[in-house]
Amino acid sequence: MKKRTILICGLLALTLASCDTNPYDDPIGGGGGNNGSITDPWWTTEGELAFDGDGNVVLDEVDIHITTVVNGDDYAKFQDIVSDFNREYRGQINVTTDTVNQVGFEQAVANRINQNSNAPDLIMSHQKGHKSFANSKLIQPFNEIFDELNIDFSYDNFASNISSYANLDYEDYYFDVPIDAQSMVIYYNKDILKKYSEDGSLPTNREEFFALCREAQEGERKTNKSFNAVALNTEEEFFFWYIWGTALAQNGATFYNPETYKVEWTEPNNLQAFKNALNSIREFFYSDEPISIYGQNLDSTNNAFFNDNALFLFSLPWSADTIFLGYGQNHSGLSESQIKEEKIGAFNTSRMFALDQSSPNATKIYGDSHAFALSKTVTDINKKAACAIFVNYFTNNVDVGIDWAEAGHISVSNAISSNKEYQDSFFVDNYINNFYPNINDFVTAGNTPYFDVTFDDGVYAIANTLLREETDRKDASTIASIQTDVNDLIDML
Amino acid sequence: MKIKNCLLLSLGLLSIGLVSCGPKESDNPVKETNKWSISSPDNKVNIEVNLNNDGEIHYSVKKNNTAIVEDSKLGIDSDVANLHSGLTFVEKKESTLNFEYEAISGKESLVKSSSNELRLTFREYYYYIDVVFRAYSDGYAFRYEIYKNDDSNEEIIILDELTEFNLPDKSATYAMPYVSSTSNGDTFSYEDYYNYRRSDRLQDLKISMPFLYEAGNDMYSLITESELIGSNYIGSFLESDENGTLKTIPAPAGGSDTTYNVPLPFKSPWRIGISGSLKEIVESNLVEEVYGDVEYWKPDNYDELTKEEQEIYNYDWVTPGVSAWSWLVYNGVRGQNDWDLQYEYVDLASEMGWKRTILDGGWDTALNPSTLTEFVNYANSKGVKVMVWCHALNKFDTYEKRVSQLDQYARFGIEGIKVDFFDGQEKTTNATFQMEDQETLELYESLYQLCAERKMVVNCHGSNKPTGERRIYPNVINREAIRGNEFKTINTSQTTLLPFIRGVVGPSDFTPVSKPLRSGITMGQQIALCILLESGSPSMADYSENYLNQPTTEFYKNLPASWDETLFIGGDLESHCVIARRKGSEWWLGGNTIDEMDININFDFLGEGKFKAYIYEDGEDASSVNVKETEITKESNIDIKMKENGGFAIRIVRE
Repeated sequence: MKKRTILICGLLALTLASCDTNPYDDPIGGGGGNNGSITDPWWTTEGELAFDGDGNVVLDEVDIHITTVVNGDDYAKFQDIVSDFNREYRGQINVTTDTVNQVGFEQAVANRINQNSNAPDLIMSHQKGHKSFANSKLIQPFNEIFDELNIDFSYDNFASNISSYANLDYEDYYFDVPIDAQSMVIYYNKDILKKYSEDGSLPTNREEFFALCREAQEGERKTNKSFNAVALNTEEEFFFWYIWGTALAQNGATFYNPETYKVEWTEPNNLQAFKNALNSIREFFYSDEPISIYGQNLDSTNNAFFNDNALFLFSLPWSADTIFLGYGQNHSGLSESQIKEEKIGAFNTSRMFALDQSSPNATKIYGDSHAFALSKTVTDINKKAACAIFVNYFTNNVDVGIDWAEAGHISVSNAISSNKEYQDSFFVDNYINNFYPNINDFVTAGNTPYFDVTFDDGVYAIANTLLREETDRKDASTIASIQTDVNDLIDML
Repeated sequence: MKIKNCLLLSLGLLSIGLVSCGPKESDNPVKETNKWSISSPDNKVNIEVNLNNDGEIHYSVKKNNTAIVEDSKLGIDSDVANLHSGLTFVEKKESTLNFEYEAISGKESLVKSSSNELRLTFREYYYYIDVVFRAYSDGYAFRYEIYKNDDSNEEIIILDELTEFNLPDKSATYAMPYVSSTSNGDTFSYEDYYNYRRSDRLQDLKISMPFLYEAGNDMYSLITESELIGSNYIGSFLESDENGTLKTIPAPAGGSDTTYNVPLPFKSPWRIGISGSLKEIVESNLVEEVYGDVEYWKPDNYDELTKEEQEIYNYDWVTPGVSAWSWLVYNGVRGQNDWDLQYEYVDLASEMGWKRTILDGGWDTALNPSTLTEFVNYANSKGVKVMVWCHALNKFDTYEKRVSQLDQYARFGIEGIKVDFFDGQEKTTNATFQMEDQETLELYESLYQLCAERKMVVNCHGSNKPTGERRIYPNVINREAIRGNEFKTINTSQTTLLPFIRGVVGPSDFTPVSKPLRSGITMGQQIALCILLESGSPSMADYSENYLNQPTTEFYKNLPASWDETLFIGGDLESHCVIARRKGSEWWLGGNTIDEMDININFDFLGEGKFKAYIYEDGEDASSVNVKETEITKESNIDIKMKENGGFAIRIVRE
């Protein structure tokens, strides 16, 4: 689990600050909620594009390199997509990739670009880290090359909440091209569900969810003492990022002030939202009738679900393959198709943590969104064109959307998500759409150059500290203390 | 100190008076020609060599009149002599090499080799460099031999090897460039991706070998090196200039030295280019064949050994065979010192008729010696041998530790070592060497020899690429240096490419599973990979229940680990590969694909008579196969359906 401290983060921030620019300072006119434009671009373009008689750009073996944060089970599917692209564009564009772990991704990539050593041409990573890339003048917008290639690009063509952050607060600039969204999702055991839900229907709110879990737990434990309704891995960062983030979002918490980037968690309404979010999760583990066990790791939660010792498994959307295969391993004689169609269903965290179900926030799901960004080290217009063509391919090609969905990632491109073939594909229809019932309810960290400080060492540190406590006795004081640390560090930066 | 040509020239007058210390009197330069050539016995491969006016050696290679290597430089720069320019031709020798050898494991059990050899001797004053070229029907090879006029054993420092491979203009290449295997250090273990690049786009990359490129229509060449172990040299990579000319460079991520002391006489590793159609590439044994008509390694005191001790070096105790391996699917779930698990895998191996089981990293944590003794005794009683994992640079960094540790393993009855992390990962000792520098190459060789003395087999992991070591050390039955199932995210753009590149040059520990680790590679393809990639001890990596009482059980029970014959059936670098291998009277076919594909298999390679074919084809989903039986003859054709990321296997048994 991620246990970075304020001190470590501070060092990181100082390291970044030693680069050409400070990621916490918005370049001319941009950021800080100013919606500014850039008057002194830091990127350059060299060369000319050639076009054939049909107006198509002609590229000759342009190599581009992508560094991605994707390195789980979904990396193979990403490689498949890249491989297909390379075969389709053989002789024109050749894409190579590498992957950097999400912990430290921004630092590693920033160093590579700053030193122009092993720098990626394209970055495919979480949108939340891109604001600091832009402020540090490490990435450049796609506008110019989209215009050159007549690519009709607009953020209106993407899911609204996701795309609302994509310009990174730089008016009229396309710094980010959104790709997808991901959060913690819920897999469920259809056979067990049927025993406790007459028509196999799923709970529609938190109250129904807990009622079902407790009924199932009571019933199953008559024959299986190892049964817990919910298998929830609390030992990896995803728990804090996605479960805790979603609980905060559903209870109306505000992560930071978008004008000042300072955190205001002790503001009375916000403090209550934080406390509600904490309590909404505590009920899973510490109530009179807990439905899960705090402190379980990935292997123990997976094994519980694979062995019918849990009704629900909170896990990651890109782990679907692992879950199907793991379940199959423990249930010999079942085909993969049978498992997908008859044994394991998909569900979502919408309304699971909202203590006020009438709130418009109750349906929110918090998570990450992958986006493409173009490194400032790309100056050759042919290379920029190759990058733009790959980005366009990835975000507009329906087959790619289906492949990427099978890796667990819902497309936020309307060109893909509105396509019937995409919607009718098995995994989208049976899983992806159940993971995220309304993509416009999906929220992310937004644009703060202080992401590491605010979230890794602030928001997530709160949960890491307080969710080990069975009561809310220390909530207010701990939140206040962490708030002070975070704001002090922001002031210092 | 580097004494260069100019200095020697300035001393020219002096040297005239020191004839007895200068060039050998018999080595009067021959002025009659500065161009030489040699062809393979079938005349398909032609090598041309010349010495230009600057005294530089250049060569080029053609196959079937297609340029494989265009005009390229050769030579070595050392601290005592420029052995790459200002050279004088001394003599040439030509010979023909015809021999055959038996291989304990590999693509073919009896390899017949035929080549023509051209040895050209050049000198720069006291120092001689022979360039030995060989032309085979499926490629070319050359090496350097350096010695001094007085045949002294002095040490020289090799400053740079200037071997070039000038590829045909804008060749399509498939390269695995250097990238550190760890985020915090310089490590490389040949486990990255092979990617397409055009040859003029290779600048700024350090390219590992083997390296494949397309030289023309259905004409390819695979550059690699051979006979590296024992050369006193270093592993090499390739680096490209802006024109796509490749030059050898020291392998990165080794020790910190950039120059290398070598004793004279010095023989470099072979630089080879397996050249021809994809069929010729896949079927080639050139990496091992180039060793020549050699014997297996024997210790220096062989003649003093007892007859029984001498018999060790027949290596008839080396038994290729499938291994059971629990680490992959239980990593993080059950430790390797979970003896219940290890007993389960012994029982699996026994039931399946497999030769050995592997205790992987962590097996010796909190080990009670009697537990190990009991375990080995149990395994042996069931006909199963035990191989144990160990860290190359932690357990074996000194000779004394090697002897002591291997003696201990031998006392326990352990039959082999899976020795890992030559690349320097997880190193806890002060060893300053790693991967392919001189000391590490000595470590490999030392381990091969010490294990041979103890009748132990070796599986190298976290290691360099195969360089034909089985010809001298047949106990080295397996090797990683491949992106295998350990990377659960490996995709089929790689698995379809591996048989054309990595699989060509030696044993490949891909560690196939039965049920796929992810749906990206089907069960049909996993089973095919057991055939597509050969190994003397393939590590079967799945849960034991996935091998027992399954539709595929008979396949795995009978799967050979060495082959009598290998045939490329079809495929290309961008889509699929189908290979057939024979063991005794049985044929085994494996095929894999990226995209869904229907192919027709023609069995004209079979002999006369009737055969039963057991066909394992992609099933309804990625985790299933359909098994069919059918009668076939050499006139038969069978249509096979491969799903996306799929594959198939066929076992053919003579009736």
